[in-house]
Amino acid sequence: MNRQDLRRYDLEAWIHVHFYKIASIYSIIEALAILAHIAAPSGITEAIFRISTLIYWALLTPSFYELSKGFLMIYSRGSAYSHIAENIRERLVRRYYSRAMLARIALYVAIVIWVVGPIAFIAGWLYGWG
Amino acid sequence: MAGVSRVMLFHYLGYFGSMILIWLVMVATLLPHPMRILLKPLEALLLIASLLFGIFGVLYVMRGGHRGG
Repeated sequence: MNRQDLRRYDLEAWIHVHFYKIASIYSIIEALAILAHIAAPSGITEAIFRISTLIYWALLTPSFYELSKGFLMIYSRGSAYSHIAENIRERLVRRYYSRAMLARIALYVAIVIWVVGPIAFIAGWLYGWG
Repeated sequence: MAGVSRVMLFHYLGYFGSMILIWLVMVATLLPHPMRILLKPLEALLLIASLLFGIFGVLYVMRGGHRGG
């Protein structure tokens, strides 16, 4: 499947693939920002570290989302978040109803937990808690 | 093949490690003062994970492991 097909077939996966590739390269910049922050602590290196970490978090977000969906798809035996025929999914949902429901709720819980990170990070930075 | 697999192992170690550690570092910045000592080791681990993710990702592509997608 080429990139255009992937975009048409599954936009989320296409976004994930591109963010993953950018994050892979960007991780070296993040490593340098952390190194500067540890080696020479100052206001500037602190700010660079904070901004760089927030960018890195944003780049990893589609990966986290897809990873969570993947694990929850396995947990729900394919009754949630899978690309299968509707009639098959209906059967699976009937059979694994509680797992399917729990998987649907768990994704929102995972997203909320994921978003708590940068909120804490920014709040700590702005209000001097961190 | 074994070489490529090892490269990917380190790459994914950095990838998943980064995902967990970035969240821990962000939340750990709010820890009260005596527990702030945890922040530096977490930052150091994130540094290692980021390097593994980036360097082994580039290595994988350079070795011809990348086939588009």
